[in-house]
Amino acid sequence: MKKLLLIVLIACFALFSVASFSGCSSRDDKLIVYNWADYIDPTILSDFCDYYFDKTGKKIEVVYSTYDTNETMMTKILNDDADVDLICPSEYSIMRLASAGKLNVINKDKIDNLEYINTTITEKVDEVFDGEEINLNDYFVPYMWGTLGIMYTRVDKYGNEVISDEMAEEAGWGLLWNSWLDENGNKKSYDKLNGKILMKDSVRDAYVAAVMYLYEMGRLPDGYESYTPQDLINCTDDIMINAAAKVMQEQKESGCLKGYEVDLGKDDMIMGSAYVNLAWSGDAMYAIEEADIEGVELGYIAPESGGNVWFDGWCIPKTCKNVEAAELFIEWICQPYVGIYNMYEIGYSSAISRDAFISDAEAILAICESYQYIDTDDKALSALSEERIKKVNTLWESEESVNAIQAVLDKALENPDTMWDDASVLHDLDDLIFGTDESGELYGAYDAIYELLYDEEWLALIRYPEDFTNLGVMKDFGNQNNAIVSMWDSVKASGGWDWTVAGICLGVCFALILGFALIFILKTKVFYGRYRKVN
Amino acid sequence: MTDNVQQAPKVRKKFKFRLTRRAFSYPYILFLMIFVVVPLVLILVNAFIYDGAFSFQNFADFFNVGTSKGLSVLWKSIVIGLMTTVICLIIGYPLALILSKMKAGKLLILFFMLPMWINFLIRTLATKAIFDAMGVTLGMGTVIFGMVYNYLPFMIMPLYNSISNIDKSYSEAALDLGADKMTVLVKTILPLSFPGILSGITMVFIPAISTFAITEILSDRQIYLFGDSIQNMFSQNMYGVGSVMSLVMLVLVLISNLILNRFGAKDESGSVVL
Repeated sequence: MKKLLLIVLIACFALFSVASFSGCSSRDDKLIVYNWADYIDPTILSDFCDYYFDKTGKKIEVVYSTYDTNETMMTKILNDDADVDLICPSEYSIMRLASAGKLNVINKDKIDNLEYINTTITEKVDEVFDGEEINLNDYFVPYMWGTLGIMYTRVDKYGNEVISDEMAEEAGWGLLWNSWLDENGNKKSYDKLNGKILMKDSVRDAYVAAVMYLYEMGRLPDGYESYTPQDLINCTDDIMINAAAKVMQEQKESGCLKGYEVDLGKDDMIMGSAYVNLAWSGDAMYAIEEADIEGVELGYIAPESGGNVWFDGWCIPKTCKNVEAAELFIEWICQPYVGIYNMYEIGYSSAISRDAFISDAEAILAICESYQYIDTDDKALSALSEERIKKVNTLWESEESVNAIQAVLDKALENPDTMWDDASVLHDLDDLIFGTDESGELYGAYDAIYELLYDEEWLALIRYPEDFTNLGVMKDFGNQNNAIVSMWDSVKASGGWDWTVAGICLGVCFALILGFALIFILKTKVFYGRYRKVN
Repeated sequence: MTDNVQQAPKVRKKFKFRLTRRAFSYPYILFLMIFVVVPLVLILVNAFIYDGAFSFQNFADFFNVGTSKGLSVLWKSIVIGLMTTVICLIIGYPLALILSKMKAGKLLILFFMLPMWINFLIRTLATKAIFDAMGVTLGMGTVIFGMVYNYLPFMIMPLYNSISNIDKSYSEAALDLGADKMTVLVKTILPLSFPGILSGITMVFIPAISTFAITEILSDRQIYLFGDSIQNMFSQNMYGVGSVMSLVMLVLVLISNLILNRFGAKDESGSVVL
């Protein structure tokens, strides 16, 4: 038996060591990308191989693997047991990995196309990490970004208005607590929301909401009144944690909360069993489109008082064995047309700036192309004649029409500064795609590009938060991580305990047991009584 | 020393592989080592590591009533587990009894097993959808319903097996000796089916106290049980406290198993593999 144990142990050890030491050498025919699930347009991934071939004359194979949470990915990278060349973590995760020394500094001079990146992100990061030991900008290239905000039901599936935009604007983060201050400082709430509010089951997001709620209600602990939102969401000392825990508990115990969710929130909103949900901008946009099909009108707001900007970026881990390919991949993915494809595929906002999109013919073509297919379920478009639909749906198959569109774009791009001003180019494009005589409200290329360019509401809330002054970037909790996780554990453990249900269940159980016991006792007495008489 | 001297002259046998009966057990032993023993050792080791050094800090963190809600969460889980078990037993015993008396019992029991063939997550999500459509507020009541619904077959199967394995001549003898039907049930069938009751309780209570998916789905994560808490700790990279909690769970399971085994030492017919 001892020998057997020894053999087994040696076998285990051998297995582990083979696993950890295999493939130490660098390779140049393969790039292993480790990304979030559903976070790229898989159809254009093969474009990279062509791009790489053009640049280097070498062939490359892209191995694409995915993760579901930052934590899963971080565990692997922190333990050095991930054999990957490129990862796409979120901001706090980049920070944790960088401070653990697991990331390479990215040589930004070597990578082209970085000028397309929206500078607001990098500037914000510079501002936040000013004076710190590490600056995140050295370690990542932004990929997707967005805000944290509140998704609410404007009109439910029965056509009843639930929450008006004005109310959402006035309430801000208070919407999640069903308690807010109006302009005169009076407390307000809305009965319809009780038991209809969902929180995200994620400690980082819940913490932002709680701290910003304190800020809105003027309930910050003494000495913190002068903090800006940027300071507040990064303030994780014990006093602030306790204050946040208090309002989170209050939220749970006040009965306004339906519960916590991770990925079922959208369905609850569409079903009408929830009216308010804490959400990320990208998820919200997806949900709004999804709900629209079901006849439910949802809205999204990033409260004016301030909040959190999140972003995911490409990083090269220390385990990278093909730095050249990794850098070229970043270069490739920063091209505007790739950005458009990815943005439309996954619904999040690309970190590539709007100006880059609208002065790049390929990108505009990609925008037009994404609206090529007329979905006959779409009410506005189903009014079109069959002939028209056929024309649009086969538009991109005909070389002639593609060339015509290309010509309009090429002509327009000769004067990129003024081309969009009179929107005539857009009309030309729309005419090419949908034809001329239709004057109704059609959703065509014109609308698609117009939305990207001019629709203020859409831009401000979802695609591009223009006003950055009240938004902050949230850092990793660092040493306070355990304290905050424990706090979150306590918040979630509190309440939710229904004594009446427990009482009824236990009562019924005891009654039944007692009943059986009683029958048993009575029966035996009767039985023995009769037995004695017979004797 | 003397042992060594005595052993020295022995001719060393060459290791030779022979296909004996024992050889067939090697894959299982290897499997057990990798997937049972190693993880347990890792949990044990992690429980004592705090900031990279040996420490009892994780235990202190967990058992500190002032700052940690761990013990109250554990208590809640045990209460919910007990309620589930008792309700399952009260529903399951009469049912198993009736089914074992019926000729078509074997077929009917299939109907109770049928939902088990569907993944329990899908079943639970469907239950949630039904509650939502009915307008029932999700909370503790729905969680207990979901638990009973999910674990009831685990109670019925061992009960049914042990009751239908009882020799009919026992109850016939009792009836001959003047017992009425109720007395037969209480004094003959109930004691003889005791092993089945015990294994039913084991199979319901132990998974019930560590469940987390059912509470998450059927209470919108409002009910927070021990399983949820462990899951939260591990997903937030707090392996130390998480391991301590897993150890506590393990001890709890061992204790309940010991108690149940003490009662059910003569169990032969009751245990059933699902």
